[in-house]
Amino acid sequence: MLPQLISSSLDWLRDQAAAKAEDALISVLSAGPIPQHVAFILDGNRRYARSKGMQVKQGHTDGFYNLRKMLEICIKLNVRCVSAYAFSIENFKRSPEEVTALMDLAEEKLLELCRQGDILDRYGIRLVVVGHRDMLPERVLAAAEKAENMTKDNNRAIFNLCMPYTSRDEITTAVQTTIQSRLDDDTDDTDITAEEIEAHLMTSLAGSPPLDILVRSSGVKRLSDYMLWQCSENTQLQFSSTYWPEFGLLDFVPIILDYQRKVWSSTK
Amino acid sequence: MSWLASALLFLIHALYRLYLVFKPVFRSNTEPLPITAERSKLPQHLAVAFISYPKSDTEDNEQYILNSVEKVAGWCRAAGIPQLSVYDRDGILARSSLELRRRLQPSPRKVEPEESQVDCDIRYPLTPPPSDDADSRPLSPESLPLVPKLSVTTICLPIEPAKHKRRVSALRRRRVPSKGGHAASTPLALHILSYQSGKPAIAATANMFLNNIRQSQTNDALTTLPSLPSIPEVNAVLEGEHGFPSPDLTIVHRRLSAEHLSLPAEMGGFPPWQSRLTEIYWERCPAESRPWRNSHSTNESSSIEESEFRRALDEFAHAEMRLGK
Repeated sequence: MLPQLISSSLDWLRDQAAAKAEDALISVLSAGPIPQHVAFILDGNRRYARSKGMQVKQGHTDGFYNLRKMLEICIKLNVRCVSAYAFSIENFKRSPEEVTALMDLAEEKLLELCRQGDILDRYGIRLVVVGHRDMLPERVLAAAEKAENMTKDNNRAIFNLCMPYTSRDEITTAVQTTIQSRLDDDTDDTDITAEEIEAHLMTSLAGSPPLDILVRSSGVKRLSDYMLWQCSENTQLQFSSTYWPEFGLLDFVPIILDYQRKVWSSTK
Repeated sequence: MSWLASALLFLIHALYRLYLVFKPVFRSNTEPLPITAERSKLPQHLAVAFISYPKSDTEDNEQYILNSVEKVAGWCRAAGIPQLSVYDRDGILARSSLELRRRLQPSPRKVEPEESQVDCDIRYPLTPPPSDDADSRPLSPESLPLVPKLSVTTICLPIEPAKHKRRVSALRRRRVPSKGGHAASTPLALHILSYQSGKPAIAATANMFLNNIRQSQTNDALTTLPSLPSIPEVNAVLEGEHGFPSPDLTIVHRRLSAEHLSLPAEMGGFPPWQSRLTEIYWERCPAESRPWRNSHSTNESSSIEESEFRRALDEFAHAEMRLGK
């Protein structure tokens, strides 16, 4: 019994020390420029699960908890907007079992996130579900709308949960709504501009600032139909080889440092 | 305590900078495979996006980019890559399409049409650069679909005759791989892009669909109105005959100075629609930015280096595609 007590006390001390060190590192990084908007492609949940001998479903669950952890880190750093590619429209091609498991996870975690005292409430984060919503099962859509309604007055930060999303779908929807608004208002006969389409993008409608950094985990160096419009100009593309569920503050530090170097070198 | 945080941050940055400076020294220096080497996967469509350091000299930049395109076109042909897109934000390449044709096409008198294995018709930009939309009017009230201004110039280059391989501009200094002897050359479709080929082209496409709908409304009020464009319909325009298809691999090539050491890639306005599934390659530590580079060799960096091209192909060959599944 005594060894167990000592072991659990040491674990607690270690966790406390790690938390304090993390907060200290965040304070140090916050002394420099911080990006307004960071987007994450949450890649590698399945490969992570296979590498640990776990079921794929557990990989996705661990991936969700890591998303929550990274969201908290970003908020503590004073990042104003975080976007996450949680589910692609292309992911509907996966096995029905996996898609169902992912939808179950989405419903469960959306409800969890908007509980009182949980991260959205604690930090004043407004949740926005960005994507082709009518492709979601009703139960997931209901959970999404509940979370959005509960957080609509939060104004410290925005969390864009992209599901189910593809950038081409978002751009095409923006093109459609732009055309429709012109058809509804015959008085404007000027040409449609890129700025007008941009204003109709779902991320713009949610009030998201321009995208400063896009991070993709698991070593893949593609955008995979994510935020193509938003990251096509001067967004820093960061490709980390770590699988998403293992992506942490130490992986994020060089990303923040690269951003700060860019800001400082552009002010010279 | 904020002074302490700032001091610690300064220290972290100093250590990080040291790490970035010395990282290439300890990186494994495996020589990339030759251009014509067998690779498990080769891009069928390669793009090179030239992202310039803002303060560099304009004319110097222009020569650098033109020299680089000339080299890359030759390497693509040697490697068997049939499509190449080249991009720069400001339209240096778009304004220099005649110069590029001169540099890349074999002399007309040496090429017999029947010997060419490619239908080498040069396609000029659809509309001139100025913004008047006179060219976008339909030819008849019954409307052929209007053609949007996509700002893409496509040149088809035939197979290079073997005996003329050495007629390429004297500015080329690439090291011809000695292994495998004489590489076969491939016909090459070259798409010349600028910022206008990206977001503005999407806006132009939206205008085209809007005008089509309005026209249908005025032509015949009784028939069903055309519906708003779908993803495949938008794609058919942007990747169609007057646009360009999605590259398999984009090399983001930056000409940087040492103070921009090892910054992450940025797309610099490269057309977003076509970047959907494209592998992105860039050098974290471009050759020009290495501080220990010998001064006598800086004059040689008048274009992209062949080793970068070869490393990009090597990395592409190892990339895994799951397509959402």
